[in-house]
Amino acid sequence: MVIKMDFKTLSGNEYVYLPESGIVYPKKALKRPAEIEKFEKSVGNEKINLDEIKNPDIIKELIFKSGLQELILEVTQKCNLRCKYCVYSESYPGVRGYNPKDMSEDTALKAIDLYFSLLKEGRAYNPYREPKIGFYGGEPLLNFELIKTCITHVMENYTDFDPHFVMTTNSTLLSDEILTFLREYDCEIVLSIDGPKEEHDRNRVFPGGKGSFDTIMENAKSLGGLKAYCQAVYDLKTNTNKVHEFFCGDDVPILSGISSVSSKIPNTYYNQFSARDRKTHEGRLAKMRHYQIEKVKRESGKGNKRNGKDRASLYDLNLMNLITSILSRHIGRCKDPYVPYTGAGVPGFKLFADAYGFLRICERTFGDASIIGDVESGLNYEKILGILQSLRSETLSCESCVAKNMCSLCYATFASGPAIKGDPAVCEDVKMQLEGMLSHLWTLGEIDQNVLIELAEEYYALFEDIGKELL
Amino acid sequence: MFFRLNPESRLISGQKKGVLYDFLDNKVYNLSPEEKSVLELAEKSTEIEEICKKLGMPEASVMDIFEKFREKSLGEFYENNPYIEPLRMKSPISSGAFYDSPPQLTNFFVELNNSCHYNCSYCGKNRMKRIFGCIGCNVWDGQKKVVESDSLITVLDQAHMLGFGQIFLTGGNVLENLDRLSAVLNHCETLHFPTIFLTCHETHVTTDSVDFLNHYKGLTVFLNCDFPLSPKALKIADSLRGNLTLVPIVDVTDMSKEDVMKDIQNEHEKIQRKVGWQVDYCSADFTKDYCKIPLFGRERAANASLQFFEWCQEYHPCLGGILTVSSDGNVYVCRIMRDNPLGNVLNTNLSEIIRNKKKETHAFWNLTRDKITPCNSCEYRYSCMDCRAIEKDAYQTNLCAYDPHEGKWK
Repeated sequence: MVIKMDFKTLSGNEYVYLPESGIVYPKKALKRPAEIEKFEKSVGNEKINLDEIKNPDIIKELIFKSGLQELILEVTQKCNLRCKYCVYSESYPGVRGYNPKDMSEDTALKAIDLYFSLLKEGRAYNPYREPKIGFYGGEPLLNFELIKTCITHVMENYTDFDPHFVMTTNSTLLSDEILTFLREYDCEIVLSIDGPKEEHDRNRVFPGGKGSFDTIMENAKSLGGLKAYCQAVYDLKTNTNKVHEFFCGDDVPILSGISSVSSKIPNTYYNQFSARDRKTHEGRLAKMRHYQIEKVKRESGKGNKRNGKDRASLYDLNLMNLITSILSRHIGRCKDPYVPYTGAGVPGFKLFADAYGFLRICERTFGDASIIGDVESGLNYEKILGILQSLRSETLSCESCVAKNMCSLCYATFASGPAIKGDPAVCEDVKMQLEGMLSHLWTLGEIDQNVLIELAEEYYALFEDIGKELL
Repeated sequence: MFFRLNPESRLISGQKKGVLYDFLDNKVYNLSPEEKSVLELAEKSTEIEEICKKLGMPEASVMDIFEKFREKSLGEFYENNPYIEPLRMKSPISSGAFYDSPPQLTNFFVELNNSCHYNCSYCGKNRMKRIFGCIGCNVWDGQKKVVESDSLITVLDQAHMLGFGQIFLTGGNVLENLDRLSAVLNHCETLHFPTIFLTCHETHVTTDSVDFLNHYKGLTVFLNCDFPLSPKALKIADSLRGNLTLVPIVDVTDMSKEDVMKDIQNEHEKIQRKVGWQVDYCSADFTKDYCKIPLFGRERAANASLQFFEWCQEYHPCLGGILTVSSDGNVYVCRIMRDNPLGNVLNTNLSEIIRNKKKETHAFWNLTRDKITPCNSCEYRYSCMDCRAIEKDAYQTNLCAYDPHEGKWK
């Protein structure tokens, strides 16, 4: 059975998406099925038989070649806010909950030394890779002394590297002393701001319930000389138009990331929303798409001479995210023979060292299934191979899925419990969104055939410094 | 109404003419200046009526051009302008992604020694140049020291970890020391390099070495030989049981273009069994002789595969991802362009050399024809083979029979 997806654009043009090769054809141009089939076979869909791998050194080589892109240190699990959508809140009963645990200096330095020892060994496979170290929490500034120790340790002991530091913070604790230190080491910061006061304070609150917006905005005035970016979270009640306008302003750093409140992990957060909320949200998304279409119409032919700040506000960033996900779909020879489907790669792409010293797949995975080693004994390549094998068996049905080479599901979905496990409901969401996404982007391409590539290039140019935080 | 090329059809414009690639069939269609102009506008989503106006052409002529390509299923008419995303084998943004990818490495040339008792006119140390000097055996002036076998094995380990796909073992006379060659070949087999090539000259081959080479079944031998083919070369071709490519080196200095073609054909017919056949050419002065050589003519633009096209958009077709280690341990990108070594494997490992000389290596690896004159005006720039070593200037092509400004072959 040939899998394909038909879709239409607003102009009425009809297209066919062929997931095997990733080609989108105008329906009336699809006249050479035999040649297309031959092409699809030629680009192949090689899958390594993971069960035949007896020596986990193969996994080590894969990680040395393309992995180790970032070490993220959970310097503390403490937080001075009680954001209502936080995965550690009571809205996510399966996750660990709030915890007063700080990462010890010994654990942090062991994690760093391990990372650099892997990087040194891995240079034989990838000579170009430079270290990136992220500080994460909880609220990392609650353990700022450890951050200072870590950065100083790296700068004193690893002089033949060109390290890059980045910290994700709620920015309520920024002080002159902290900012001076961060400037000295070019540490970039990613601020969590959800939008204007009424939007931000709806969820991002101190333990007593007071909103954190005013504190953050006051602190944001002192960011001069630092590379700073914002990340926002939205839910079904978010007034996207107000959030968009807010991030167009000059008094906040450029918006670099947006994500919905996590629904990939079992939660009670979404229980609060009514059918009306969902409908309103749908209406807002439709307005956002309309805005994107009108803007592309206005700016068609202007190339890259667009307004940078305006370009990166909510609606634009949403569009850039759609475009990059479409353009980076697994086509031709880009398919990963170890993880043929989903957006999950080989664990070890980045390392998340939690406050206890466990190494996890990433900062968004919580279950035991996500542990891939520890700072004492290093990466457990056998465990990683086991994760890949489990993921393969969990994704067998992807073979016949229309979204198979364009699926962004990652370990946040698969590795947040005791074992690697998929969620069919999430898969349905992915498939449902695909048709709308293709239709929207091809509508834009009809208006300006260069817009997709140009916006993707702009996205990478805007955010190349903090790339790993976006991955 | 609009006309747009299909995803698999790619228009590339040159200064005067253009080509249309059909990447489903790997075909190239040469376009007249008129066809090029019409398709250029169509690909900019210009309405057909507007195309006629802009070019001052009657609608019937424009429609004839479109119909021609529609009949070949390379394009289609549309009431509403469609969005056509070109057929690709890789993401257009993969090189702009955030993470530090390892280099894309291809061919690794290892010169096992620098000694040979013969003195061919087209040898590296002599003045006469040849086109495929990189798959020839060469001796170079001033290289006395020879890397020990143990060090060579270490270098091969390093090349394997870096991901080189093809290993070219060459010399000097690689067959001079079969114990050393055996150690290297055995190690290459242990490392499972996808392809291992060995380059030697017919004069190097003895009965012992034939037996030796026949022992290595996965090996592909490039047998360089004089032209016309000698009885010895033909006998070797019959005796070697594995993969063999004969590389006759034709000195075109005193030959006419017609004689070159005729003689090559005659010699090819002498070979009894099926072997690879890659004619190479040498000349005392290529600037005088290049038009005699098919490789400088239409033959150089014969590859129309999407994979090669995409490679050429990012890399030089030959230099992209290659490295050479000479017998004294010096590392170069190209085996023939040896002015500035990047480092030496006796004191620095390959990975460090690649890391420390990123700018220098990329200057060669990413030397696309968009950076070379007049190739940057040529419609064949993403499907053309090219050798920089025989040109006087790496950024200038003189040895090509096609003039993109005139759109004519000499």
